[in-house]
Amino acid sequence: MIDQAIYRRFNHTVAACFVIYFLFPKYILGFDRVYLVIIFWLSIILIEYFRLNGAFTLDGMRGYEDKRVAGFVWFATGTCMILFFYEMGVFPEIFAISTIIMASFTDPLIGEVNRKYGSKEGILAGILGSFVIYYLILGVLFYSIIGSIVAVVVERPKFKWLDDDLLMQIFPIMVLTIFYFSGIGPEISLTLENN
Amino acid sequence: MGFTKFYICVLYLVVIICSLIFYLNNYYIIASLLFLGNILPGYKLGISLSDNNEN
Repeated sequence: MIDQAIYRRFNHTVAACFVIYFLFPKYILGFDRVYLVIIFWLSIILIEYFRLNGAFTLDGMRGYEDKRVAGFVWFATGTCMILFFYEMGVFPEIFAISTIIMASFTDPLIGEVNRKYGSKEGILAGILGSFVIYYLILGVLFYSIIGSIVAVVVERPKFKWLDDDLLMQIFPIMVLTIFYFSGIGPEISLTLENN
Repeated sequence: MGFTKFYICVLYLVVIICSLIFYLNNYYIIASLLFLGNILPGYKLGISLSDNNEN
């Protein structure tokens, strides 16, 4: 058997590649690209439905996920929500890209540091990791600090029916968007083109 | 297990292709993040896979 924890981590970090969506043309074969998001999400739900019903087993699942919605479903749901609301004009492109990449890398980073060094170190690593990612993409200290703190704060509580994979995406981007549009946050280029 | 190996190879390809596309579009920071962020878990998984093959 391959190392299940590493397999899970790699699946998580590869999810950062979802941002390739922003380079897709607006219309694919005459259809708006947002349909791709909907089809992808429905496919994930379908896979999860059959997995939970025992039709097949997947590698990398945690023991308690046998009877519970798996982490990859929560992560895909969070990403699809970000992409959907981006298409609706709610979330700015640059916040969407940075948040998806941040959540993909920070959650496994916190998990690994928690496991090896402890919870406090996990928090520090999470804040530092998410701050670096936000700062590299956004280039604005204010949003990087706010985003990284929110991401780590919502990662902490554990709920049975709500996963941090979803919360770590939705909350930071919501807070960043509110700060930007309320005028509290500084000006920033909202598209990828100018970064 | 066979499917998992195939799936892991697809994931490696996805990382390389996505990083390359961002790089070719002059988004060097995002390309680097995608590539570097996946190097360590990808490498560790590769080792785990090769250990698994030896056993």
